[in-house]
Amino acid sequence: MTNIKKCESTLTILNVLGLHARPAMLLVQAITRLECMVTIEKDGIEADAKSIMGVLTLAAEQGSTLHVQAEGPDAEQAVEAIRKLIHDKFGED
Amino acid sequence: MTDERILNSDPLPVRRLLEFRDLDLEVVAGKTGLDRSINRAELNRPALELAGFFDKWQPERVQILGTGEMAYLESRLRDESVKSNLERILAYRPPCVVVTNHRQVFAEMMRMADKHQVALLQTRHNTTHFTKRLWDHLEMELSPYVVRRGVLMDVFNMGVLITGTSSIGKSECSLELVAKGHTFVADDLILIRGSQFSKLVGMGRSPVPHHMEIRGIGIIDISRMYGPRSVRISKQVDMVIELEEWDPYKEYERLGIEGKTTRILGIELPCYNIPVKPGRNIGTIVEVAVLNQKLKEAGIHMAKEFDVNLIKAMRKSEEPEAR
Repeated sequence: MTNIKKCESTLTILNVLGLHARPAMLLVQAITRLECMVTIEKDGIEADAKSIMGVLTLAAEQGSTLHVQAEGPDAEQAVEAIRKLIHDKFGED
Repeated sequence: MTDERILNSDPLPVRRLLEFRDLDLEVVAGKTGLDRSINRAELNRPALELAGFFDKWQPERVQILGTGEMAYLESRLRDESVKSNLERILAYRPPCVVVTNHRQVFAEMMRMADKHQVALLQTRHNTTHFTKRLWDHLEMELSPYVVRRGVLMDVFNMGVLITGTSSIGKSECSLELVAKGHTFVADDLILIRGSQFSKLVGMGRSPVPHHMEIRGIGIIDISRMYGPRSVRISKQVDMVIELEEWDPYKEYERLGIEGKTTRILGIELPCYNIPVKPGRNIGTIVEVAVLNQKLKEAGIHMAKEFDVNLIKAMRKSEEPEAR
């Protein structure tokens, strides 16, 4: 049996400036080497969480809700890394 | 995650119609109705309703009063039943009413529009031209859409959606195309609208358009770097190019006699799978794929022609030489 792990979480952006360039970079860097597909959805639009432009295009402002979904051996690790970054306000504020 | 998720457009506020400059609309009355929304692209000319026949009446459509309807109204304005039919049309609260051909709107009608809070608009265009333009806009604004990951480029006037897994080199390939003089529309999330009756139109979704991420450099602004000629806001999507990692065990298109296709919103588009490996100049290959497709659409099929000529040449060599 193949080991397909799935993990998902709904998160709220906490930092004042929202998901701008630097946080987007931190987010992408945190998961880019993990073995899994990760998507972030906002208002029905789904971006590839490993793409900086994709994450930036969501224009996720403070207070907006994101739905993170990961699939693959490192799925749990990826969702946890994103949750932690958002929770820590990307080291901002 | 490749399955197509079809999203429905938000209703269009009537006020937005004023932004479409080709419609040349002015507000005559019922200003408070401008914030109401249009949910349907279909239009109606309420001639039968003015005459009192409301059986198949569809008040959720934009109502168009052309020369015929206006002349009828003017000639029978003293007729109480016609006046009450007009009032009834407005009382049903259609999204808005447009008077075409710059026909004069009489005071009674303005009063009714204000009373029922239905925007009454006027245009100088004739009904047929106006109807076509308005329908095109409404169809585009209200049609369902999908969001695809990729880069949308205008290459030799063909809208090309370049897709592929992350870090395959979509942005780099597009940058090369821009440097060659082609036009960039958007990178990463491409919103594609269309219905079964219309063409697909793609555009970016970013509130800050025309940017791209190039690994090793960072985020760049294409319009700043290559000038306003290098970018456009939207483009009809004509074909798809899928970049993929070179797989030595996969069979790629070798002859080009049979064409592959893909579907976006139910519309069939030609699709080319291009394997990527170091040393392959992908920008040039995309150009060639586009030119090949353009020739095919013009009825020139190079692979088939080659085959026909080869068969002809082989037949000739079989024939005994006539002397």
